[in-house]
Amino acid sequence: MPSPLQIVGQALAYLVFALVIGIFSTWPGYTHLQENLSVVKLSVSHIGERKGECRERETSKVAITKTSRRALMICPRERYPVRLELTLDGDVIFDREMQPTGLSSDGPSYFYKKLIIPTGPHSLRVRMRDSGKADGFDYETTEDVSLSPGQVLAIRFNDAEKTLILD
Amino acid sequence: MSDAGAKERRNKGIRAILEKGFTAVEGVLDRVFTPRLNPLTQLGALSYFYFWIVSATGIYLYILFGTSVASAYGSVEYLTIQQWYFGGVMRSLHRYGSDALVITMMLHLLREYAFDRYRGVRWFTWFTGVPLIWLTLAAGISGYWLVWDQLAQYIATATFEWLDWIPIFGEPIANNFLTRGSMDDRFFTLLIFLHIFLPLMLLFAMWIHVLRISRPKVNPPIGLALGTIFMLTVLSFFKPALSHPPADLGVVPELVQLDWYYLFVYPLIDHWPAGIVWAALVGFSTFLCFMPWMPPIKRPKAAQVFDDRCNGCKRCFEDCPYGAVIMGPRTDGRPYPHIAVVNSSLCTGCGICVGACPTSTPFRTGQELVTGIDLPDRTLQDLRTQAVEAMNALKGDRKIVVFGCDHGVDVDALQSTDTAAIRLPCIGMLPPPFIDFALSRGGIEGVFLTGCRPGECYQRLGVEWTKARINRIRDPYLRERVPRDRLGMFWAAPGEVDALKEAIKSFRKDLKPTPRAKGGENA
Repeated sequence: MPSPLQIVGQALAYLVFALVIGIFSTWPGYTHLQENLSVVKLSVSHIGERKGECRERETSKVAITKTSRRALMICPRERYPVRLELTLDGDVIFDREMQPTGLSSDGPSYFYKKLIIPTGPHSLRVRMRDSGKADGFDYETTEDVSLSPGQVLAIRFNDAEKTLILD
Repeated sequence: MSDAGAKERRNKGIRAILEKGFTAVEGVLDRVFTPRLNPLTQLGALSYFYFWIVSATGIYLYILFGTSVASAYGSVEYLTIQQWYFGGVMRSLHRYGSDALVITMMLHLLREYAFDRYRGVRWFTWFTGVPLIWLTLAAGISGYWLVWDQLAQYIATATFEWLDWIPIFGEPIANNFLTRGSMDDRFFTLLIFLHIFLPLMLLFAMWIHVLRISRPKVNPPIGLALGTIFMLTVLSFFKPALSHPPADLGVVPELVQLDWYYLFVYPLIDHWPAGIVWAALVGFSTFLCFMPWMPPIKRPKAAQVFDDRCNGCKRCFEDCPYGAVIMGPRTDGRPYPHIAVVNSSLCTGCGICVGACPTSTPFRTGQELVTGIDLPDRTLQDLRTQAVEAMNALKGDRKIVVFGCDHGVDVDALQSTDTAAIRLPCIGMLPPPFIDFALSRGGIEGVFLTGCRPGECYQRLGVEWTKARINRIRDPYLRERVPRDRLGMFWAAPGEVDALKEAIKSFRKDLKPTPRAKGGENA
């Protein structure tokens, strides 16, 4: 049977352990984002244009191919890299070119970037190039936005409508 | 063990500081809790216990948990508020049990390092302990996702942005947290699956962790278990685990209350490039994994079995703390079905098997002492010779011989005209007949045994087995004829020299001179 002193000692030891657990399970709080900042998330998954032209298959060759493989066009698999640029109030804050994924470079190019910007009104311009041209862009969107503290603005590419969207 | 080997194991630098710190705190806790219930000597067992608390409470929480994105937060709030006296406490126990698990796990790691119990044959247990840290943290983090509050939103987004740095996932996983509506039930189900799968993996890894340990302590004593669960319950009442506001992927939470035991890495992820955080964590884990070889320990030669003396009694097999002795089939035609076989890769050379062997008797002084199992570096014959020579050289009317170990107080310093000091790799190496021999043939008045403090035995079971043999509850028994008032024991940490000296002084004072030793000469 423990002595009264031992009981007090054990209670004290358990109290210390409980305090250590309880305190650091929530304290100190962590300020992840200052209140005068907002977030822009650039997230684009897009397949660039083919590097070569498709050509029609000869009819004689189509005839001897299995029915399930009778593609009328022969297309090169390799795609162009995709370049994405984001301008904030006239300053380019993101400009990157991503290579197509896949062993044959025939997959999408992926962009994911989180950018912290000041809260308030901004002019955003997003441009994207997915073709082989040396200069210029194939898609462009400019929008004036007003960001509230902590707001997340996502920039994506809608493949169906072929447009860059901000939401 | 050789002197060089013993000295090598004397800690230096950071390890020595940590050892002193642990020893001091454990000394206090020994008095407060008793050595049997000392929480610092039960850290591994407590970690297991917390795992079971978390598992049991987790099962209950899962029964009432809404497994869709829309219902998850509400179901946790229902548990926490509407069902406070059961569900809320269960949730808090789930949280605080997990936190306690991290604390005991890390203290366990630090303590094994401090007492140099991670090198040599112990490498496997240390090495397999490192993934346990990762799995525990990953299991805990995945649990925080399921609440689907602002904290979940923050850590889930940060986790997957961090994981996306590894270029193996194709489309970024973080896209699932892009905007309101990005998170769907299918992905949320994956998060739930992870929170079930990871703890199961953890349990599997915990089993591997103790695979090479004979008699692992995986359950704390009942008193400690009840005490700790009571403490967690009281904490749950005083500070219930609560949620943040519900997740909203359209807004990044500014301030989050991190559980620092699990989520300490997230500020680093925020401020350091993902690659650097990966490098730091992988580098630190790799460093931990290879610590047992930095530098490798000098291992003594493994115990050796002498076939013609081994009768296959299995005592060495049952007493070995490392499972290094197994019983194999006998092939030499002797009438015993088994013979002891030593797995040298698991043997630490502690000699506990030698102390367990019924043939380890020093009484036949006319012949060479060959026992069933012996240490090539420290044979029983050498031990007897050393003991006889040391005892013969003693003078005085209260002569004693002190048997100590390489890991407790350094008994060499106790050597004097009336005290012989003999050091063993572990006190468990001392066969009980040696005590009888020293008192009946050595011409001395007393035998004193010392070794590591209970719960701190470097060789895990040496002190426990020694006490059990002397108390005649474990073979080989100390013979009844041995006068117990001439046998003293004191278990001390390496730094407790003064306490040991005091114990010996007190023991000597109570000793009565034997008739044959009067005049100070040995018989």
